[in-house]
Amino acid sequence: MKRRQFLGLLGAAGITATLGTTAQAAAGKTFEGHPDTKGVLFDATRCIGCRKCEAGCNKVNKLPAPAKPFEDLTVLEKDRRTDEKTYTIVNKYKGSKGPVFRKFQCNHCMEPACASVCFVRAFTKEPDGSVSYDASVCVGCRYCMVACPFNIPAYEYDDPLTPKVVKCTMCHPQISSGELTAPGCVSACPKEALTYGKRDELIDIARERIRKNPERYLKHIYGEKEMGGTSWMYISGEPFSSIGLREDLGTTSVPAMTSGPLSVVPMVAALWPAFLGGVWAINKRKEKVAEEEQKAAVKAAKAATQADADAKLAKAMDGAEKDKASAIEREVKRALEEAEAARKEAEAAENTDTPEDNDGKGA
Amino acid sequence: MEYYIYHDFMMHTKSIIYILMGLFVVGFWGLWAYMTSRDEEIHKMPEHH
Amino acid sequence: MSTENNKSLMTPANIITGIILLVGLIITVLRFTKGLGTVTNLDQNNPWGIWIGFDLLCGVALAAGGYTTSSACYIFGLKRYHSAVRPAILTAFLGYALVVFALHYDVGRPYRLVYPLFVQPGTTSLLFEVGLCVFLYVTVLAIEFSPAMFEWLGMKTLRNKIHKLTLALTVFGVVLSTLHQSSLGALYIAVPSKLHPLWYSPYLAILFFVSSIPAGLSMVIFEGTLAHKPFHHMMDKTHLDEHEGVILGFARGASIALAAYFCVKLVALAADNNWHYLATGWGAWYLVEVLGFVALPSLLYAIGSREKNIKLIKWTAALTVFGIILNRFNVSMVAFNYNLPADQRYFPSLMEIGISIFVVTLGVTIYRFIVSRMPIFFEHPEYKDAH
Repeated sequence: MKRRQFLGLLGAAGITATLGTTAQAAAGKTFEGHPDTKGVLFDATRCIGCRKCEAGCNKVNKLPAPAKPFEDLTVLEKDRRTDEKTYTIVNKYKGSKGPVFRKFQCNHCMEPACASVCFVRAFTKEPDGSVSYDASVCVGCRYCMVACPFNIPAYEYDDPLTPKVVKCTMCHPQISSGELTAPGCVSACPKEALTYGKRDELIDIARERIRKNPERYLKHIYGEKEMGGTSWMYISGEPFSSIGLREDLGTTSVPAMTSGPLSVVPMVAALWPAFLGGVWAINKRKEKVAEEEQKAAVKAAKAATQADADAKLAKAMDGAEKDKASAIEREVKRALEEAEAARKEAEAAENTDTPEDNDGKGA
Repeated sequence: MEYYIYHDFMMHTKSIIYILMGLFVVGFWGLWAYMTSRDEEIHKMPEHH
Repeated sequence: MSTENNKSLMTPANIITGIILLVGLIITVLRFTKGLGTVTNLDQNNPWGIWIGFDLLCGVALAAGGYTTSSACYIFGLKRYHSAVRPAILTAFLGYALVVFALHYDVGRPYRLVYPLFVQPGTTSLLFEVGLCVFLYVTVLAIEFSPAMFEWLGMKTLRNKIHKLTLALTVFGVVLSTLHQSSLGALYIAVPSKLHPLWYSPYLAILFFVSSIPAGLSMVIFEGTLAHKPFHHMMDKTHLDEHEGVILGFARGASIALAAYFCVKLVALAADNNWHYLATGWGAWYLVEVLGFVALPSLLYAIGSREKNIKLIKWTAALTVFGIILNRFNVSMVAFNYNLPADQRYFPSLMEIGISIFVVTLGVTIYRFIVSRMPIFFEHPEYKDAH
């Protein structure tokens, strides 16, 4: 899933060559969790639904008193979830051999979804295995609640200005201060349905129980791999989906799911300005060329017009000159004709008066 | 520093990458401004439509 | 430039606006004195309602007109859309400003909204990416919009200085928009167990980004249509002359973008081999969305731009906008927590809807105030040379 998801995004972004194929595996690095990280194993075959764990949790964490006392077991008839006043609950389910109970609380994921999606780093996976929450930076966006595959974080909806996200702390504050040696719920359990210890050892214990009592248990440790693994794990004789634990979550952690889109983010910042700048420059160049071409065309057109005009002018001038010449010629001709007429008139007059004057015609 | 969980490793690398992204933006802008600073036409009308 | 103030303030539109704003203020007081529990139907299983599904997701998608229009004009060289840029930038700016405003209602401690940026950044979160980009993009849009204000106020030097930054701001705006539009979809990549497989996809980021393009283009057409009549007197000849060209060109762009979006939708379906879900009730709803509000508007836009049928294009723009809202609602609410029993599903309270209407009304009111004063639909006579 993660590989395909990642490649899909890359392929779609068209940058496969840029990133290679190992982004979410971080170049061969593996992350196995903090050394000696702790956890809790819940054994559904041992739980009797006495709600002592709820009472223990309520006490050590100084939570408000519940609506119905912890001795009242009728609340088990209803399907409950954690809320802003309750870190843990026990629910009752119909099993094949009578009722089955299942305690629920924050599973303290190995790769917490809430921590991965929190935009102020309010959640931290502590070396002791717990996932802690820091209300002093929380904005109250509730993305942690959206992202949690187990629907665990709860929110103080009735607090108008200082609401907190509320969830099980695995008694991290009390254990790190030395006040407790195990979470309150674990210590309160009269049936040893809960075991607190190193996660690796808990997995060994769970395997051992399953191996020794194959008829009592299903061959699966819920939480060993779900969502990348959880610190709180479950073994049961009934199918996990029948005791309210989803079996379709897969083994991919939320950080692995989001690494695909996150790896595309810097590519957009790196490649988009170059690409858009290029497109702009190409368009600019086109415009410039078009502008120059237009200028050249205008120039050529002007030149052509000029030449045309010159030719016309020349022609006009030429015509005018010809006109002038012919006018002169005409004038000269007319002058000559007039002169000739005058001479003939004079000659005729001379001939009648003094015929000997004929010599004078050339004068 | 050693990272035990992928999330912490990612927080480290992504923080660096965000800083790099800031540098990319400033860098592109600087490179462009330098490259076109003697380019009279572009200098006069940098975005021109 | 006559403003609406010259007429009587007691028009039916103004009275309705006043009532909505008043009711909004009352709910605002309730929200900040009694808390989200009193005002909303949110609960421990449904932490995000319409203030995220509508105000944030739809608000951001429908404000995509800003980056699509400005990049078309300034980067892709389509100068004939220039008169559409300012109205689009204004709408985008108001859209994002109101998204940020509306978030103050939704988050538990609004006074800490800057914490992810300045106190303790959670860089592995896609919401951090969204927050960072929205913060930067609101700033970019404010600067991109500011010349209109400076022209109105007659601050020439400042206006000309900012005008020189247009290209840089446009490129930066596209980078930021690409990032946060896609990251809004990527928010849901973390929840494959809660979102129905027909809407969950590793391609969610790309689906959200690609769909923001027709959303933005359609909003420009849609908004232009709504503004055309009441603000006709504010529009100059260039705006009116280019108006039809903008509609036809944007219809073409939106048709192709919707077709591309349809392709990505199909790829997402095929990549996870989710075909068998099509035969279920969810499948029918999915087909309504994909065929009725993606494929159909793509085709109608194509017909509209080919036949130069402006009326058809305008109706198609409304259809597309509705389709994008439907998609965001499906991802964030309808198909989210699909596996919970019906009685644990979310439906918005009247007061939540009231705040969403209040926010939209506030936006429309500010829009009306601005376009009836500042040079949005017309070019300022002193700055004609710049265009």
